[in-house]
Amino acid sequence: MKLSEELYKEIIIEYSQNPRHYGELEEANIHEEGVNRGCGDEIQLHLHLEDQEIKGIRFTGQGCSICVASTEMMTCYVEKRSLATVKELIHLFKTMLTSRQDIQMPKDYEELEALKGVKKFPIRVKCATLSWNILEQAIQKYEAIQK
Amino acid sequence: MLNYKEIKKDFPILQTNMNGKPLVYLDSAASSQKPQRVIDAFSDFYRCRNANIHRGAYRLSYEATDLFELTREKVKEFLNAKEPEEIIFTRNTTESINLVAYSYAMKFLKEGDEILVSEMEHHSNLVPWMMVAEKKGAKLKHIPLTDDYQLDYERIPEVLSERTKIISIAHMSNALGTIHDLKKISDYAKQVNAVFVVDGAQGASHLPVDVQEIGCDFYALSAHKMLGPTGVGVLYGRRELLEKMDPFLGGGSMIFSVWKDGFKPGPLPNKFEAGTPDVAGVVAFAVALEYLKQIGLENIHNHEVALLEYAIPKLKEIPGIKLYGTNDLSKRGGIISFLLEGVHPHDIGTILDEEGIAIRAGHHCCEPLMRKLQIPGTARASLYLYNGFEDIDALVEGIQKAVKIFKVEEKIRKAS
Repeated sequence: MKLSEELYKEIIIEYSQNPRHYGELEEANIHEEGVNRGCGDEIQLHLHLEDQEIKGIRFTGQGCSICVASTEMMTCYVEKRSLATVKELIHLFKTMLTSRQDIQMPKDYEELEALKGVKKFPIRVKCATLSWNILEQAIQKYEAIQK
Repeated sequence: MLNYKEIKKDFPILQTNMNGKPLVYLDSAASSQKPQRVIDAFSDFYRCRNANIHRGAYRLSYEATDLFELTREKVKEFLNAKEPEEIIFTRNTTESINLVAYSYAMKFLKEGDEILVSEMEHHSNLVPWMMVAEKKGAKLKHIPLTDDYQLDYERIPEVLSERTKIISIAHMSNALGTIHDLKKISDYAKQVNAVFVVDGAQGASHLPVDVQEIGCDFYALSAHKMLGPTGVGVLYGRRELLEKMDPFLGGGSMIFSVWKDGFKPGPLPNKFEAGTPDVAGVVAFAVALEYLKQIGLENIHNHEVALLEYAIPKLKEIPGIKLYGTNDLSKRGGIISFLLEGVHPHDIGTILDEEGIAIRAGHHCCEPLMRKLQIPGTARASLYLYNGFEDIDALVEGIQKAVKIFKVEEKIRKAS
């Protein structure tokens, strides 16, 4: 398989071109944003966090196909999940992209493995992890408020 | 007609492969490749001539000093400056512009004064002026763009005033390739007695430069965009102004005399050359200048325009492409900035990379320009003397691959 085919799999193109979670969220109580200065990816997350759960999540901003696909996939997998589960998923996803080892995603999150090809393009890892880092910051922000 | 096929042979890196394909280097606006003779001059210096300059009481140091000063003489000729003392070696264009900002503007600008730039400047010709403006209470004003990506010269009187003390404009835009009419801007500068600074990072490598004919007070350039090594820059400054300015950096070499409680700066150009410079880099730069002179800057520019004339109609046939740059090729250098409908420039860059094609993707250090154009950035192919028509064909083919992968045609069909 050609490298670009490995990176730009059908599923990535589909997620990046038809993001269903794009837009603002009326009930959002946490807003967090992040930027990849070098490439211009800019993502804002709008979250409704309550009872230690992500009740709703939307995103705005713009970025490359990897960044948008990764963000859209993330929103699909974290909505209606507990913060404990989400934190675990964030850790797992980031490890999958940054570890030298071949990390497999659990069955429920198998689709995220489509982004594994990014590992072969080190410069693009930051595109795939941007929104996950923002989500991590958003959760920390929420937890600080709760204390 | 420039024999680019022969020229290509002089550049060892252009004989190499990238991702299993012959390297097609289309990022010379970021940094040019180096011919073998420049690489040789660099390593020969370290093998046979290495010594510090202006210090040693021995033959090797004299020889190194001679070679270093010979480059100054060559730069003087290249820019048609009046005297070698008007040539200051720096690290790059950015440092050269900062030198003017700190040593001239910080000293002479007053509250309420104005600095005039354009809407398509590189950050290096913006941020130093922003820093000065903030410190001195001065104001930054911008010459607007026309719809054809040129400076709107007719609107200069709207932003020019008796308060304009500095006008700083690029010779050629690194993001769009627009070549500015420096003579016209110089005339405006003279009308209000403003100091005229030219950011020549892109200009000096692609166009003949005559600082006296332009009538500029400062001209900044980088050797690494002109076939020379990285870490070497030049600031041309008119003697009268350089004499009035304070030193930029203090330390060795820039002094005439030092006492316990003070110092007297040295004469030009030493006053602005503190510390040991990149001697090997400067010496190798002389060889790059010789190479450029031998080919001829006029010929290089004409070759790039011929490549543009070949490329533009081919690129326009690609579905979903949008080109950014003036249609008037007499006012444009070898820069092709473009976007593909619904495809981020970084994705284009990655797909081309796999084909061995090196382009740049992003805002090209011109964020205000990108905001003005309401785009996140562009994909940019930049041409130079070693590029040929086959490189354009490879580029077009590579973009077609991106069109296919991102189903651009399907998207356009759906949208219409």
